[in-house]
Amino acid sequence: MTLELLLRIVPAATGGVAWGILGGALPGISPSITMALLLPFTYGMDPTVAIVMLASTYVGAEYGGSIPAILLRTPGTNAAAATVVDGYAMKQQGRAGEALGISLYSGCVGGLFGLAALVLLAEPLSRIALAFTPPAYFGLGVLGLSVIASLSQSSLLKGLIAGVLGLMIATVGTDPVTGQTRFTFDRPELLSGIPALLVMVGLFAVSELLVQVTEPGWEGASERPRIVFPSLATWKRIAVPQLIGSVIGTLEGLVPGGGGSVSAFLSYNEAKRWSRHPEEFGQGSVEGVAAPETANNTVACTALIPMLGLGIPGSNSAAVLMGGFLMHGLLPGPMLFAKDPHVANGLYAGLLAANVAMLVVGYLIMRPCMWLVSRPKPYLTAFIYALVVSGVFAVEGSVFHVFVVLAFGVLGYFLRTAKVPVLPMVLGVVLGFMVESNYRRALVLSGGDHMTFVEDRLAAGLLLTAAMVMVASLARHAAASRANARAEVQ
Amino acid sequence: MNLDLAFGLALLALAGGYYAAAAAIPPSFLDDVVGPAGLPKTYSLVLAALAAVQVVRALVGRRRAPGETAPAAGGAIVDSRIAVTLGIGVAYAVALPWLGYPASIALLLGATAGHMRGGVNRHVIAVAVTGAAAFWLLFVWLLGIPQPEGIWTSGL
Repeated sequence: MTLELLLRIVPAATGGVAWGILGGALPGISPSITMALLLPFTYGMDPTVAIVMLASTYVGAEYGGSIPAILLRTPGTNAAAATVVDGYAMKQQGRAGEALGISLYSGCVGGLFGLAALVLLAEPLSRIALAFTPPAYFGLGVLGLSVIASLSQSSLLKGLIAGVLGLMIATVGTDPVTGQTRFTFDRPELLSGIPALLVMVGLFAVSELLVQVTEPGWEGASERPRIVFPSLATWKRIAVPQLIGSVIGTLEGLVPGGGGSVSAFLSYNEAKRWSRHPEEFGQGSVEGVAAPETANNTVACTALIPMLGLGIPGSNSAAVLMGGFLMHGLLPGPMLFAKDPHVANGLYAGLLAANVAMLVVGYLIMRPCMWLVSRPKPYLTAFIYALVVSGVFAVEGSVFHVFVVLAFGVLGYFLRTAKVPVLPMVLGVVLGFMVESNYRRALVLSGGDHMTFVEDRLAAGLLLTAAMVMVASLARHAAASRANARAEVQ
Repeated sequence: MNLDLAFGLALLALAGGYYAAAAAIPPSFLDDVVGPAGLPKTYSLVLAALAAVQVVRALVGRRRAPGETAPAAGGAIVDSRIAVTLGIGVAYAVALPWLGYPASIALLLGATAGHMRGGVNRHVIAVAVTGAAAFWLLFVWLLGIPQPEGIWTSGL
């Protein structure tokens, strides 16, 4: 990595963190939406710098979500929901600055721990994946889809439906083997398919806009506290919860579908269990803020491990980051480390810069953040809307694609209303090409013999694992339904 | 009709239309064993099967709890505020090539904010104009991304 690139990465990381904190601080704007809004702006950037900026946005947004959680009792992101419990209690005791300081410091600790895990695990994982043949890549794609669909919170059926819809969207454009056009309806704009960027921006950002239009505004912040970094005594006391949050965040981030919110609550519970002062939890415990905030920032790095190593994004935000890779002509996964190792190294350097810069940026940006959160919702919504449509046109250069984004926004809204998870659909779009092209390539190589998926041990293993995941999910959902039915009868 | 039932039926219709479109893909000399229509047809059949399960579940659920009010497909999802917001976006896309970027984005900002506030006043107009200028500065001047200029410059 050249010094010149490094000198561009640091400001990109800092800018990304600042953008992420601002976005995360706005209730309803998740890290993935914040990243999706930034995607079009990175179009003209150097790919490494663009990826760093997007990943840094994820880092910043996970901290940013704790600001309204502590000050307004409204989590800015799902992962900050666990921080509300003790964070808001601390605010009510006049310790808001202390809570924000613990959140910021713990986020930095978690992020650095997660970065270490990312550096240690991503490349070895990719080396394993380099041994993959087309049948094995097909199996990997199917496994990725099955895991995400099975982790759908609402229902397995709806997760599968969403995944299949995503795969169908991925078939629009030009056939990967014969070059035949499919489902383009004679529109030249659809010849290269529907860009994943439009799907993500529509499903995440536009659908959220449509939801926000119908919901009341959030209350503005009545005070603008100064951040107070932890004292030595507090630092010692939160060390164990931070370790708990880091470990749980690492494990959760590795599992596709696992996310910041699950790890945050798990960490909170475990920190309470291991605490010498469990009675303080819920009453303004510093440990109750440190554990979840460490966990959700750890996940911001470790969720990138399956994406970088295998090319399978395990979370909404990782999927958006993968969209960024694709937009810049990069293919995350095993080939990234072989063909473009400087991108991975640049990303590591950028995440290091982002986690360190977050301490400074988080401190300085507090007041602008609170000003932004206190703006009237109609103006904020209007600006986000303008950002979306401007950004989409900037990338695609076509009014047609603005219509496509709006259409996906409507689809996303209907899916949310029907309680259909969106992540499986995004993954279907992102993985659809990989699944189809490797499936057909495998059959071309085997002369049309489907036994190739059984004879290739890696492929067979991955497909068998996918089947087991689906069966286990079915059993889990069936057990949960029986338990619900019994509870209703009682 | 409850939401889950409507959703299932819509999916069945989508699966049918998608299958028909896939079947209409002409064969090619370059076709492999599966062909360009192979996986799309498979996806549509899988979707149809999943949709059928969804419909059956919705009907069984309705029969088991006839007294319960399930979310209605109509009322839950049709909200005029959403339709208006969407319409503003569509109007922006239609107007963009004609009015150009600054005017179109100003109208989008003003219409969205005005709609959510329940009316347009001088403050909304001021924010819309200022916002449009800021967006033009950001995209066109700072980032150098060309945006439509509209009919205003076509005569020059």
